[in-house]
Amino acid sequence: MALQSGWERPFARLSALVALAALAAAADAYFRPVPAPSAKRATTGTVTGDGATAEVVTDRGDFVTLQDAIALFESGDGYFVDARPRAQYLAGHIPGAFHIDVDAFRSGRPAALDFLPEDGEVIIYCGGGDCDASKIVMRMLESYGFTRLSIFEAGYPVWEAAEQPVELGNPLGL
Amino acid sequence: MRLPTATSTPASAGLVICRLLAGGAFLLAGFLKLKGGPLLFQMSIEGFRMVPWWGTMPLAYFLPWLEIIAGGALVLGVWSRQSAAITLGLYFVFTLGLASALIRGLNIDCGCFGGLFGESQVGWHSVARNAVFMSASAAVLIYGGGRFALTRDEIAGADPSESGAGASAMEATP
Repeated sequence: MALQSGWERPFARLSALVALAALAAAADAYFRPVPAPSAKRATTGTVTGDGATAEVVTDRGDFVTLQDAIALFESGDGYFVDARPRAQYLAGHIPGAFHIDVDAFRSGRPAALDFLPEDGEVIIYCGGGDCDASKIVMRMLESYGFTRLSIFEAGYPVWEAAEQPVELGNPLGL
Repeated sequence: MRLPTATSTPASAGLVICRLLAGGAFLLAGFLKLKGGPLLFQMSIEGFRMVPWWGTMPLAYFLPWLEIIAGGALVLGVWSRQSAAITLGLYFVFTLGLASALIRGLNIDCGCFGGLFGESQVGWHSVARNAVFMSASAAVLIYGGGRFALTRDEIAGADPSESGAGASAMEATP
């Protein structure tokens, strides 16, 4: 059926532009698939010794508390990642924390990832509250092969309010 | 309903600026989103809490391509009114999303221009910027592509008997 004047031809053109975008998106999804997120939940296991049995956390799941974060900081077993904007990181962060915010992933793999062991325990934080930067950074780190990831959901304000040590500037030079 | 077309040279040149402004911004935003990858953009969409989880990944693949195709068509003046209709619709939806996030007090990643203009977080300045682009798109939708457009503009809803041809088209370009 030949197209008539009026709205038919403009709508056909509009539909053609949308269809072209859908086709390109389908090809993009085929050639650049995104891995499915892992469903990580806190799990516990039991350990026995000296005749006693105790339940311990074997996988922290997605979130860590302030107490967990302090324990990991003091033991030196965790790698902290600050997902806040750079200006806020420079004004104060958890000592030794790497600065990897959402923007760092817009140009591919951030250079700071070279300094994070893929099997190390990584704790990501941002400004607390409803800040979602740490969740985005966690998902991005997961896509780069990092497996032991947790979010310190209370974030830097709570860390600072708890009078924990802070570091200024960018001593890591990253 | 007959849509007007720009007849004076200054008005026609103004439409070129509108095309470059609205279309160019979309081209840039689309390329930056493609460069960042679908996962990053998906997380930005999720942050707005307006799209069901199953819709975020298809949108993350589709929207950047729609931005590039509609923006590119608008810059070149290919089917100017139709591409302007798409960009206007998208800017409208994006602005609604931004305003809604700001009213709800969400502290989220904008996902707009990949942090290029130092605006990784949503803010009222993003709404104001979108209003400018919406006005430019609306001008092209109403008055046509103006000078240097590669294709002629359709007169939407024109009566074919008035033009004496089966399909009505009008020179919006000199």
